[in-house]
Amino acid sequence: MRKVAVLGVGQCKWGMLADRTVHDMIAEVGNAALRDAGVPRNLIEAVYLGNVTGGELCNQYTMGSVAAHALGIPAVPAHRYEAACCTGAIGFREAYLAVANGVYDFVLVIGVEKLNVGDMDRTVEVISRGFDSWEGRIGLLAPSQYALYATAHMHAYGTTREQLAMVAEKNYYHGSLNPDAHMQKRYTVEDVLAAPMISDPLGRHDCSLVTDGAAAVVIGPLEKAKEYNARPIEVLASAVGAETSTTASRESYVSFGSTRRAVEAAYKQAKLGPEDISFVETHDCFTITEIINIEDLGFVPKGEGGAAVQDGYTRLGGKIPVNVSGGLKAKGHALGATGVGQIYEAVKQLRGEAGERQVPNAEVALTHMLGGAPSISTVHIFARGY
Amino acid sequence: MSANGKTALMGVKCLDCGKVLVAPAWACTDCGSDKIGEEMPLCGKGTVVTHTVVRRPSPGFPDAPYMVVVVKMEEGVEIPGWLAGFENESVQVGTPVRFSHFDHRNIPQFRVLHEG
Repeated sequence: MRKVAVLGVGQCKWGMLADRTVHDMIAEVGNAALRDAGVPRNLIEAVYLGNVTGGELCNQYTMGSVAAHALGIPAVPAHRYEAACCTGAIGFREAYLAVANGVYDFVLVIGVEKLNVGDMDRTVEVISRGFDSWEGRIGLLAPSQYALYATAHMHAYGTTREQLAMVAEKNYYHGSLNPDAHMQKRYTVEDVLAAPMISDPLGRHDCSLVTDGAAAVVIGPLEKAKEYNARPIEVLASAVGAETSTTASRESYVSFGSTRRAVEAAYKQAKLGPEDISFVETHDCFTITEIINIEDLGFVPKGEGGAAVQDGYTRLGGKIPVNVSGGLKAKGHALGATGVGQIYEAVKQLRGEAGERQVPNAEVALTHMLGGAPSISTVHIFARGY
Repeated sequence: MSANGKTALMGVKCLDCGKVLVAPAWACTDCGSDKIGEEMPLCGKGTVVTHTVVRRPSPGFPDAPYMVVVVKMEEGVEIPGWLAGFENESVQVGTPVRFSHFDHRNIPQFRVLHEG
């Protein structure tokens, strides 16, 4: 396999984007990534597009072809990938595999999602189709799914509602430093605790945002990258892990086997361990998820995720900053775009272009997404290739 | 009689390794075998593995709040359902429950099993 690098990245402002279409978001981020990469568009050999709800909420399937058309490369093979919240990251991984194995040289990866279409009940119902539909019939939507894990984690390790709230407060703070974030307002721990309960023990502020947004990256072989861009970011690892598609009969309710398998494979590929990682973008669909994830990724022992947040370990300026973009909580969760947005953040940080939210001494980035029950997990590791 | 015509929670057994699975099942998630036996009724008794009270009504479920529980049945299989009458119970991880009935949407309804 060849070494692969990210040459360019693009992202639009995320939020509730009533006046934007998936087409024009694709064009904005795709063009931005191509310009940033310095790769002429006639060298792009394929488009990998991540999108979940286009068919249901935007009347648009086959969005890969739509993207190629919108970017003026309609004859290029272009396909859509779907893996619940892992969608964008899976699109990136498929593109990575093609480049690493010499199928293509330069390819474009896009994640795009438009969720705010004037009917939030329908949007929440469509998003929740990422869980097993056989179980979904009992009224287990996304917040209640992860509330089950929160209850189990609190029971097993004494994790508190205050510690969950500290995850939200931290990520709102990080988001306030990110001009692309959906939410740039800060909330206190008290604000988070006072919010209406959605599904015990998760309140409104424990839930990620329902966001419209898009991000794109151009990747290619590292050996050819420097012909176009002096600052390529190398992909040190790309791994995916899996677990049951159901909520019941899981390996565990306080740890996700898909994450453990993916991160083990990723550390092995990169020949690195958790102690080598400078910062993390991880799937904080709910506050409890970030706590479980930092444990499963090996940054703290199992059960100590709550205490780590409380101690400031994961805050910008802490030992291992987590979700400095604002995460799904404040940058927002644009479903199929989120995994690509994480890679945008990793690249900006590694280049030292992250402005107020810049992590000092950012050397190695880890990005991590979860999809479904969770039944899928992706881990990517990046470092400067220059 | 429930909407699905059943009066008991149903399981199936893997004919190769003996693992009991939720019905329907097409292969064993433990050993991968596709030799799955006929559906059989479960005993109905189990303990709560985890739980949440859903507060926000959602499409198809206007009757919030309701409590979702994952129950580990005595046969080892885990089944998600609702805890009927949760408002009057103190439900925790480990609380013993029994299957009560399927409601009009075929959602398994459990009740706390009080000693005696």
